[in-house]
Amino acid sequence: MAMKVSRRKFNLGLLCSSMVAFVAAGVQRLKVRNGWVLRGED
Amino acid sequence: MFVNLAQSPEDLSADVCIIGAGAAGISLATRLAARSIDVILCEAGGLEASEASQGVYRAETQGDEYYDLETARLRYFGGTTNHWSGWCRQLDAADFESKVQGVPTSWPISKADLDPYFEETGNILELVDIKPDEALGRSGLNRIDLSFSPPVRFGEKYHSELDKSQHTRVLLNANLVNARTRDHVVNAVRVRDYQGNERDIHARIFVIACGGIENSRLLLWLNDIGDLPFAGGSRLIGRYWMEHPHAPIGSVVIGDKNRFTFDENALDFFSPTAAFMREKGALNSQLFLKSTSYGGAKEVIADLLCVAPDFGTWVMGQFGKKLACVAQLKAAWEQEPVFHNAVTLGEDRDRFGIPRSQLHWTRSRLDHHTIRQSAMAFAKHLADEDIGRVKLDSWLLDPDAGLPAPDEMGGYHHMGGTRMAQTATGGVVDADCKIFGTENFYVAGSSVFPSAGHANPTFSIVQLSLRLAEHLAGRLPHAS
Repeated sequence: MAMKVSRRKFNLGLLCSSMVAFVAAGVQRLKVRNGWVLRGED
Repeated sequence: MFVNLAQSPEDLSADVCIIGAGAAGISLATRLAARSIDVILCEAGGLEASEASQGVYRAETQGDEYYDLETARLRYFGGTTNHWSGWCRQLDAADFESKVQGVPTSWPISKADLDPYFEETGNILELVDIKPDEALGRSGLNRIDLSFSPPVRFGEKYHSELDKSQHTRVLLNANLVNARTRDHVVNAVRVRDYQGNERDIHARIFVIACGGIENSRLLLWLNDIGDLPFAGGSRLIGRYWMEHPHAPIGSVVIGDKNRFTFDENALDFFSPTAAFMREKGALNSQLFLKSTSYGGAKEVIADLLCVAPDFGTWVMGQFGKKLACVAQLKAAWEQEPVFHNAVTLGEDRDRFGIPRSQLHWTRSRLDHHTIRQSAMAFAKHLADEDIGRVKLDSWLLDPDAGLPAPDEMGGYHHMGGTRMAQTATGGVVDADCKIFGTENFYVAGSSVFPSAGHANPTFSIVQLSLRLAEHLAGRLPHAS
């Protein structure tokens, strides 16, 4: 279930922007997408 | 008392002659007068703004786009405090030290040298309730306080006190044109008004307090005409000039607006810790939030929904409950002090025959790196804690991108040019603000800053003036 939700979000993200980058920060894995600094599961 | 130069006696003498009646000069004059030290305070303009005086500030800028220097500062009694906004903060302890290897940010004094003047400076600027910094989680940032002065207009606030003082004469329309020196001692300065009347002022001590550009210009001029015996530091006059670059850097969506304060005059500011700056090789900075209009907020949330639909949907719900908010993330930060950012003398001359200022100002890769590090730390904190999400402007995400030229380029904070240093090889003035190579010529104001931190400079300007007053009182035997 969790995987499905995650994939859905990822696909929506790709529709908005092709710019996806990951950055490590503390305990969270963060990513930068279309300028937004997001949590890994966003 | 106040007197126009044309109506003043031919023979003018005092213990201390201060050239420039802005925040630095007036703070110094009132404190010296309170110790029964006779002061002549020279104001180049009058009690009100005039085209004749203001026109002297016309200058050329080179490098990055910068404000018109004729309107960026004011040349009448009270100086630029006649239009400053009032934000105040003292420099951090780390600002007096080296932060990044090879970057000359250290001062020959420490914060502890200015701390004794903290309370009195707060009283002068009418600040209340200065709150201590507190850590913003584990972000490497602190939530900091900037205090808001009413703002104090020094000309209005101190007019009556200076007028009644038995120890102070304020000489209006008195423009410094040259100085007379012998054996490293300045014996007199010559001042001229707009009709060509001139006076010589004799004093035991002279202080130039004309602002963060004019101090450099006038010292360069005195140096050029051979009226000042600088000790090897003359090549540094005007150099290492600094501003606080300002820019909007992104948008913030916060799920609960009670987490932060961003009303018109009560803002939360965020600033890196000393450890963070050392670890990241970055200088100091401040971030703050500014409310976005309803229309702008809807656009930002729509954008967030595209990349983070769950969080975006939750925020939409909070928005409906008037809990969520959208804000613009803005920043002001410390600029790398570099030799080529400088006030120099241009070709064009003012009405007194003195070359106009030429300001060269550019922002460096370190300036970009500094604000990128703080912005990323703030954005990560909001995401880590699930408080909100930050969208950073594209120039900030690309380390190789240049800095933008926004409408708000700087803070009108003019610093450096006569930097304070341990020796003449590193600066223009010593730790007491005395010009290297002279016995009795001092500089007051932000031009002595070797580095600028992120704090708005007026608080530190006043602290330094109070410290200078104490030093000068110690040199004059009848000081109480």
